[in-house]
Amino acid sequence: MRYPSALVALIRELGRLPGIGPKSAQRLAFYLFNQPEDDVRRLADAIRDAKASLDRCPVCFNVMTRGESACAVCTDAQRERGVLCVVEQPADVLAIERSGEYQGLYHVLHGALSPMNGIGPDQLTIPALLERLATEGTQEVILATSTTVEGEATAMYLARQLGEGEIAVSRIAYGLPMGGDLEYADEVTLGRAISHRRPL
Amino acid sequence: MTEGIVIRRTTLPSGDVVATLLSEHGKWRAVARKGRLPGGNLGRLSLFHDVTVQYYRKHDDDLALLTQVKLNGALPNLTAPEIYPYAHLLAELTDALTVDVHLGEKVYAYLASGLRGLNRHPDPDLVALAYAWKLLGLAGLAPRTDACTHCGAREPLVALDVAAGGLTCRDCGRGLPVGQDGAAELRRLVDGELRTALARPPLDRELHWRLLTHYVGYHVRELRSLAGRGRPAAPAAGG
Repeated sequence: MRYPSALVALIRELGRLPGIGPKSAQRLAFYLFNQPEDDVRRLADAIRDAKASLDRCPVCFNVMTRGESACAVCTDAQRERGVLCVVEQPADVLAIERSGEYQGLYHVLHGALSPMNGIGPDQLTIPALLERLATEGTQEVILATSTTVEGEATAMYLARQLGEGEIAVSRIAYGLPMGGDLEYADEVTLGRAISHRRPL
Repeated sequence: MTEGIVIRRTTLPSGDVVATLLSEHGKWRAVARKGRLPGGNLGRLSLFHDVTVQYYRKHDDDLALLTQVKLNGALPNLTAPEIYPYAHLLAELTDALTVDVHLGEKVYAYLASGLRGLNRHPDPDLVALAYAWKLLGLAGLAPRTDACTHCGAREPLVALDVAAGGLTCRDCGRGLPVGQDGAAELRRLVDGELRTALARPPLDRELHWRLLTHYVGYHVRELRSLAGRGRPAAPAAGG
């Protein structure tokens, strides 16, 4: 038996989403088919509206509503404008905002350096970051790329690019997750935590 | 349980990590469920890490499921901007060379040795160049350097005919011109001992990178890391 063409098309499109294999796509397609029409329409509208109304902030490259001059963080007059936190993805901005510990601005790179995947500085928003630093009067840059090899390499590259100029460059601290036992920590994290220990 | 070097790592939105490992028994892929989460034992599964993994695989599954990862060794200097692109180059070249064939433990040993060399040698550019030619040699793709690949003449060898897969003499006159010195340097890189190749770097380094790029592009495939070589090591802006 062959599935109707509309169902095949839905499975194919769902299967193109990251992390969704053919079986999951098929399961989702049948789930959507069994939902009330209003629910499905709301989902379709939400996807269409999000695509139509979202854009990248021209200043920090975070997500913003299309048509606005900049994102909510860049236009917030209360933010500390001399500090810039560099992250890999817009989701990282939300994660840092949830911590409540940071009041400065952001810059989203949209990835990390990965030569084998064809991602060099020009494929990220690094040129725009360097231009921004030259014009905005930033005093400190916090490199908050992830602690993977790719994130580390990107942070080291940026630190090298910024050199020993007037802008202070710092890297987010390495260490152990709160509430965890030492014996379950991996060697790399534990090693970094010890080598980057701080006096009390 | 098996040992391997992580030569490729892809993260999925679900938090899972798909890793390609090169071991003495060949190349294989595995998934670490929630491998992106910090603190878990699967966090050791970083690019270029030498790891011992415990895995589970159903008969027909293409992808094994990693259940434990133990770190054997990490090379922290590989993230330095002047080294990082070369580590990617060796990993990508190894990945490309082992697509269809099982090259056994020698490739694993050479990759491990190459990454260690990059980690500590003062000239990572030369280490990458030398190891790239050695990896091609292990895959049976090294160019012929002892005689003209067209007529068999011993000398003077002055060009590299990429398509024919070897050096050519002045009389045959085909290929990319390298000069007699360049030909001797290429012979040292391809057929000489690594120690000798590293002790006597080629004078025109860019010529040899061009030769390698053409050669790999023709006999293996275009490598992204080779195309972007040198970008992350660009001079500092001075902030």
